Amino acid sequence: MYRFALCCFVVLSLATDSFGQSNSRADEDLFEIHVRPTLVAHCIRCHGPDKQEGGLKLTSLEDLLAGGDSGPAIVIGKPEESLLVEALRYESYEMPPDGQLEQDRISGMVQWIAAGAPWPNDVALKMPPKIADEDRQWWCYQPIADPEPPAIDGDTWCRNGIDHFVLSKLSQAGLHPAEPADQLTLIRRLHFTLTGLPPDARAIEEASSPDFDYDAWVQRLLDSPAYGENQARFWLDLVRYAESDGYRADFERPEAHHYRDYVIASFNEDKSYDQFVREQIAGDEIAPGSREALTATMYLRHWIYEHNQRDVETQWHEILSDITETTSDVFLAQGLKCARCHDHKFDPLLQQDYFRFKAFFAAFQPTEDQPIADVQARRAYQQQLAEWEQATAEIRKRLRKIELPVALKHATREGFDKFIPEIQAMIRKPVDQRTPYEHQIASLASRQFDLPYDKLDQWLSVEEQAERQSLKQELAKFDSLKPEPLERMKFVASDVGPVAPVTYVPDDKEKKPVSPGYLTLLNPDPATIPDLPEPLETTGRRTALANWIANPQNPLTARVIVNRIWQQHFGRGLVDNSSDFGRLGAPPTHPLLLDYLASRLIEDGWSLKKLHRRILTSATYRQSSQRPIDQLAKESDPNNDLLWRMRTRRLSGEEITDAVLAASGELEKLKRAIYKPVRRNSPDPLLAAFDAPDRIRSVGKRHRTTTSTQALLLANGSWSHQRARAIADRFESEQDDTDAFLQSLYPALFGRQASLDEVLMAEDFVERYVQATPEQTVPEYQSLVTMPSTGQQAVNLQPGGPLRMSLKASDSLPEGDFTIEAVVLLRSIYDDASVRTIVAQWKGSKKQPGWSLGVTSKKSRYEPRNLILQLIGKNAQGDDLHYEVVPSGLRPELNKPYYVAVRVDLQDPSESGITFYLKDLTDKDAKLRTASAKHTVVSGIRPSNDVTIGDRFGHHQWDGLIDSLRVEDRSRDLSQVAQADSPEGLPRYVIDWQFEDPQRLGLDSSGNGNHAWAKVERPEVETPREQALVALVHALLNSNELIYVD
Amino acid sequence: MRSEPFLSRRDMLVNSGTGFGALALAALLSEQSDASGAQASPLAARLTHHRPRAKNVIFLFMEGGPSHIDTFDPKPALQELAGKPLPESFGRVITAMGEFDSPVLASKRKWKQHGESGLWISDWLPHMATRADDLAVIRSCWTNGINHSGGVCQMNTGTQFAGRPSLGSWVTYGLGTENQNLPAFVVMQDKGTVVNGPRNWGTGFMPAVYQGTAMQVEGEPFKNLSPPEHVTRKQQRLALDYLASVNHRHRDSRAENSELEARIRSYELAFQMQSHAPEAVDLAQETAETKALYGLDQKETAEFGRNCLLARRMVERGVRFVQCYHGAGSQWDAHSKIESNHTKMCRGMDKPVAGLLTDLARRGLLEETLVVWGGEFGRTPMSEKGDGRDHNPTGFTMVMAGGGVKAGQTFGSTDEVGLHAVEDRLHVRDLHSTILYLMGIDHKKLVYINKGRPERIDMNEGHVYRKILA
Repeated sequence: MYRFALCCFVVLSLATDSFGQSNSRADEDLFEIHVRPTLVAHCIRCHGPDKQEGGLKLTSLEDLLAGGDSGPAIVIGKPEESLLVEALRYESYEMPPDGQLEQDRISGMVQWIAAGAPWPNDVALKMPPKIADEDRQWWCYQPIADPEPPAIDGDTWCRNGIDHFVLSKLSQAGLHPAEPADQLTLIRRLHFTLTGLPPDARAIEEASSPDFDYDAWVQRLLDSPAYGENQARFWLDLVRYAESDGYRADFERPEAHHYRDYVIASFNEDKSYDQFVREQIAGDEIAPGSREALTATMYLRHWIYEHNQRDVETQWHEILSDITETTSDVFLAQGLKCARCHDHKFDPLLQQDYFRFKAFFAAFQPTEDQPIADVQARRAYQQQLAEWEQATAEIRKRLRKIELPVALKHATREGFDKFIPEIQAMIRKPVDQRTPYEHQIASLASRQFDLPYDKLDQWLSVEEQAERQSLKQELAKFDSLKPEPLERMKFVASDVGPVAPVTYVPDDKEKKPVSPGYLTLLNPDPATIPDLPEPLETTGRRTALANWIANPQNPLTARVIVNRIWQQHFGRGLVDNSSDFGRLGAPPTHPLLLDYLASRLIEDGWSLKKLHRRILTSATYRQSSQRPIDQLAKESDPNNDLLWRMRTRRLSGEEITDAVLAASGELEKLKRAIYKPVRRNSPDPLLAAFDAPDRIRSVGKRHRTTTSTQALLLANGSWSHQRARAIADRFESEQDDTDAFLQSLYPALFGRQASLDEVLMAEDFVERYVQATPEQTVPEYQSLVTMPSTGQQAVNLQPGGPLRMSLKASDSLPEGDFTIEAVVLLRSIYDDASVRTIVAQWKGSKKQPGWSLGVTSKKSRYEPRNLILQLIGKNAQGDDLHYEVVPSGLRPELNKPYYVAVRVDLQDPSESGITFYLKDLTDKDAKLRTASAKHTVVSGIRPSNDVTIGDRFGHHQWDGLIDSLRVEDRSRDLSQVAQADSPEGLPRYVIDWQFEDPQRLGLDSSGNGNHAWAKVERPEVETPREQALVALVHALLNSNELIYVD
Repeated sequence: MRSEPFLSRRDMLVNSGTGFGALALAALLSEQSDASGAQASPLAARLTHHRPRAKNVIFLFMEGGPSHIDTFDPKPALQELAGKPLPESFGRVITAMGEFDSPVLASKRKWKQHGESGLWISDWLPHMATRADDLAVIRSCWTNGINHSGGVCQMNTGTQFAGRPSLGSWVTYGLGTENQNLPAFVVMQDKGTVVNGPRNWGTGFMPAVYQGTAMQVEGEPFKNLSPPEHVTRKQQRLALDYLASVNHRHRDSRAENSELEARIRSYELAFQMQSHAPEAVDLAQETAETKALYGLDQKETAEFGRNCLLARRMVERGVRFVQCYHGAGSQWDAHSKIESNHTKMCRGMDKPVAGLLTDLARRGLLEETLVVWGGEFGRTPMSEKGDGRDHNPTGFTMVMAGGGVKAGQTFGSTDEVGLHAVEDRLHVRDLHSTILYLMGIDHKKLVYINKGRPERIDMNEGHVYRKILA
C-alpha cells in the first residue's frame, strides 16, 4: 500500500523539512531525490522505527553512522567503504533482499555519501501511513450492492436475473450467448455438478423426452443425498480435512470422520451458511449442548500435528497461525498469511491485523473431553464438582504428591523427561495454578505421554503404597458428592478458560498486547467481545469473530461463498482467485452480478441450495460448450471471461472413481470416494494423480493437470482393469451382440447412445482383438491326490487357488501352548521373501495377534526352505504387540514328503520353549530331527480371524500337498511315543484333518466339530470375445469423453 | 516490480523475470487455457536465467542425520571436553531427546588431510577421501527442524512444515525436462521408507506434474509402467489405437479444447515411457569394472551402489533431478552406539559415492552434474545414552561436488564443538537458492503464483552463497 502513498509523502516532506544553514539546494536534492525515497521504500521496514534487523536502524544520519552489528552503515565521503553501498550492490549483504535496486538508485546513494551525506536537521524517517485511500477503494472492501438486473431490449434469452447481467456484458462487447446445450448434454453436466455422479438410466430417459422439466430436475438433485456428498468435497479441500496427523508417524484421527459427516449433513439439510460458519468457529460457545455444533468445531482441529515435537511452543504457535490463516482464506479470501512477518506487500493487510486476527484464537484449546451440555447443565455440574473438589482438596493434594513425580518418571510413549525444564515445570504445576498459556502448552505437551497410574505401586515404597491406598479409600468416601458424569466428545475445540493469553507481535520489543480485532481497514477498533455465561469457561472471542464473519454487512463473506459456488459450476469464479480477493488477482469479471448473487444469498436466508438453483436454472449455465470461437470473440474475449459459451469441465478424481463405480454397479458395495479415509502421508493414488490436494493447507481450487502418470495409472493399473471386468459382467446378457452391448454400455459411461460409426469402430476393435487373443485352456486340477510314500490322500494346494480352506475362529482354538503336526510336500518356494504357509491363524499384520507355521522362500533373511513359526502377541513386558519369527534351521527339500511339527510352551521363552520336528518320509530309516528355539512372545496370540490352511488370506500360499494336519492346545513332546500311561497321555486333538473324503474335504475327526470350510473355485475361462469386450470397456474408461463434461 | 502497481497475475508473471517469466507463464496459463490456441507442455525444456553451471543434480540424502563432527568437521575440543557437560557459553538448544546436559562425547575418528587440497576427512570415509579434490565441504549449514519429519521436510522443501513443493519440483517447474520418455525428477530409496513418505518429493501447492517419481526397489522401475500380465504387447497396442480413435472422434467436435489433445498425447508419452524406462535401468549394459567401482560386487555396498549407478544412467538420459536416499527410514539416526551405526552406514555409502564421482568425472559428466551429499541435520557434540549423539540442526555439514562449485575447499565453520554454525552461516534456504543458481535459475525470479500469491522456494529469505561458485 505504501508505494501508492509514497509520492505524496515525498512531496509533502519537501515542503516542510528544512536543511541546516550549510546545506545547499543541491544537498537537499540529493537527499530528497536519492536517499529518502530509497530508505523509506526499501529499507526502514526492517531497519526502522519498528524493527531493527541486525541491530541496524536507518532513520537518521546518527543511526546510519552508528550502524548495526556489522559496523557503521556509511562512511561519510567514502561510498566505497560504506557497508550500505556494498549491500545495495549485492557485494556482501544483498539488500534489499527481494531484488536489487536499479543502478541509478544505487549511484544516487553513492553520490550522496560522496557529497558528505547531507541530512536535513531534525529529520527522522517515518513509515508512511499504512493504509492509503486508494486501498480503501479496492472493490472487495466496498459494501455489497444490490443492483437491479439490467433491462435488455428485445431479449428472449434470459431466464433469470443472472442472465441479464451476463447478456448485458456480452452485448457491450458485441457478443451473444451460445445456443443451449442439448438435453442429454445438459443432464450429464447437471448431474455431475450437483451430485458428482453420472445421470442414471431414469435421468437419461426423462431428459430424452421433449417435455423434460429441467427446473424440477434441478430441485430433485438438490434434494438427493448425493448433493451433500458432492458439495462436501469442496469444503473438505478448503478446511484441509484429513484423517491423519501428517508428519512422520501420520497417526490416524479416528474421530475426524464425524466432521466429514457433519459437513455432508449440513449441506443436505441446507443449513444456512451463516449458521454453518458460526458453528464451525464457535459451536462450543453458541450451542454447547449440541453434539452437532460441537462436531462442527472440529473445523479447528485439522492442522497437521507432530506427536513427538519437543519444541512445544513453536508447534503451538504454528497451530494457531495455521487456524488463523485458514480461517482468513476460507471465509474471507484474504491473504493474511502474507502479513505474518510484515505488512502485506500488495494488499492493505497489516502485520498488526494478522495478530489481531490470531488473538481471536488465543484462548483456543483442543479438547478430548468436551461436555455435551448446555449452560444450565454445565452450571449444575460445575457447582457439584466444586463441592467435591473442596471437600477433597487436601486428600488429592497429598495423593498427587505421592503419585505425580513417580508417574511422570515412568511416563509412557514419548516420555516426560525429554522436555526442556521450562515445559516440565508447566506440566508439574497443578492445573489451577497454571496461567492460561501454561495450561495450553502443558496440555499440548501432555499429549505426548500417558501416566501409568495403575502401575505406580511397583515403584513406590511400602509406606508410600500404604499411604496411597488409604488416601484413595478416603477419597472414595466422597464419591457421593461427585456430580453425575456428563456425556463428552473427543477431537473438538473450545477455550482454555475465560481468560485468553496475551497475544504479541513476535518481534515487537515493547511487547504491546494485541487485542482481537478485524481488518484495520474495515474496523480499526478492537473487537467487542460478548460476555458469555460463566459455565462455558470460554472467552467469547470466537463468537465475536464468527458473528462478524456471518454478519450480512460483512463485505467479504457472502461474496466469497457465492464466488466459490460459481467456480464449481463454471470452472472459474467471477473472481479468479477464489481464496484471495487481493490485488494480485484480477477484480471480478462481473462485479454487479457477484453483488446481486451475494444479496440474493443473504435475502434467501443464506440458503446455498437456492443459490445453486438460481445459477443452474439460468440460461447462462445452459449454454452449449461446443460453440467454436469466432473472429469477434477472438478479438474481444478470447478467454471466454464473459461466458459466450459454457466451459468444459474435467471431472475430479472423486468423480472419476464414482462414475466408474456407478457404471459397474459397485457404488453401493464400495462406497463413494468421499468416504475413503484421507491419510496425509499415503494419499489415494488415483485421487492424488488427478490433482486431489494434500490436505495440508487450504485449497480453494484444484489444479487440473494432464500427466503421463495419470495415463499409466488408468491404462495399466489394476483398478481400471478390475472395473472394466465388472462393467462387462454387468452387461453379460448383451455380450453376444456388440451393438446391444454398446447400447447398454454407452449410456452407463457417457449418458448417451452409441452412434452407428461408434458401433462399427467397436466391432472392428473386437474383431482384431479376438484375433490377437488365443483361446485359454483350463488346467487340470484335482483337490485330493496321493501323498508319495504314505499313500494317503492329501489336499492339493496351489498359490492363487483353486482350493481355499479355512476354519472360523472359536474358543476351542489354542490361546496359549499348542502343538501342530502335518505331513507335507512342497513343490516350490517364492522368488521373494514370502512364506509358504502350512497353517496359520493370522491376518498378516504386525499390529494384530496370531501365529503361522510355514517355510521360507528365496529372499528370506532366515535362509530359504526354513521351517519357521511366526508369533505375534505380547512379550514379558506385556505392553505392545510384538512380532517375531522363530526359525528352526530345519530345511525340507522340495518335492519330498515330510512329517513336520512344532510344539510351543508359550510361557517358556528359553530354548526348551519351542521344539520343531522334521522327518523325511521317503527314507524308512530317517530319524526324527528336532530343533529347539528361544522366543519372546509369551501371551496374547489368539486373534479373532479364521484359521487358514496353506494360505494367509490370499497371500503366503502353499504350493504342494498337505495331509494329516493336527492341532493340540497344549505343548506335547513329539519325540516321545504317545502312550496312555506316558506323562502326557494320548494326544487330545483340537483339530484333526485327514483330508480323505472329496465330498467332505475339511472333515475334522477330532470330535470337536472343527470342520474346515473348503471351496474349489474353478477359474473362469474367458473366451477371446469376452476378453475383447473387457478390453473395449477398459479403453472407454480411459477415454476423454468419460472424464470431460461438455 | 517495485515502482509499478500490479494489475494482474499475468503482468506479475511477465514482470517477474526475463524471458523465463514469460515461459513459465505460458505453462501456467495453459492450465486454464480456454479458447486460446495450442497448449505448451508444462514439462517442455525451458531457458535459464543465466549460464547454468550444472544441468543436473544428484542429491544423495543421508537420511537420519550423519554426524558432521565425525566425518568432515574435526573438533579437537571434543577430546578435551569429553565426559564433561558442555559449557553454557555454547548456548542452550532444545534437543529432540532432551539430553542437553549429557557429557560431551569424544570423536573416536582418526583424521587426515587428503588430496592436493588437504581436505580434512575422517577414517570413516576412505573412498570419498580419494575424491577430496572434487569436494566443496560446507561446514556451516543450519536448519530449524529438530525432528526427522521436520528436518527431512525442510531439506526438501525449505520449511519443516508440510505443504510446499520440494526442491526437485521447483527445478522441474523452472527448467522442464529434455527427455519426456523418463520422469524429470526421479527418487530412489534403499530398503525402508523415507520419513514423511512421498510428500518429500511432492509438489505441495504446485500442480502434480512437477512431482518426483519414485523408482521401485523391485520389479518394474516405476509404478504402473506395464500393463497387467494378462495383456500382451500386441493387445495393448490394439487397445491404445482404439482409444486414440475414440478420442480423436470426440475431439473433432471440440477442436479448441487443447486439453483433450494433451491427454491424447499423454497416453502416447506413457507408452513411450513404458518402452524406454526399462532400458534406462538395465544394468546389464554396464561393465563388471563399472559395477565394481560402485561396490555392486560387495554385499554392504551393493544396494546403494546400484542406486548411484542408476542415478548416473538417469542424468545421462536427461533426468534433471535425481534424489537417492541412503538409510531411508532414519537409519543414520545414531542416538546410541554411534560407533557401530555410523561404521555400518558410512561403509554402505562411501564407496558408491566415490564411485559415482569417479564415474561421472571420467565420462565428463561431473562438470555438468551437481552432486549434493548430506542429511537433514548433523549430530550433537553432547552424548546421548552414553555412546550416541542427538540431532543437531544448528550446525552441520553438507558437501557438494561437480556442477560449478569450487572443489577441494571447506566453507564456513561451526563453533569449537560443532554445535552452532558461526562463520558464513548457511540456512537450508540458502542451500536451495545456491543449488538453483548453479542450475542457471535465479531463485528470486522463479515465482509460482499460489492462490494469487507469489511464492518462491526460499520464502523470500534465501541468499546465493557466492563464495562456493567456481
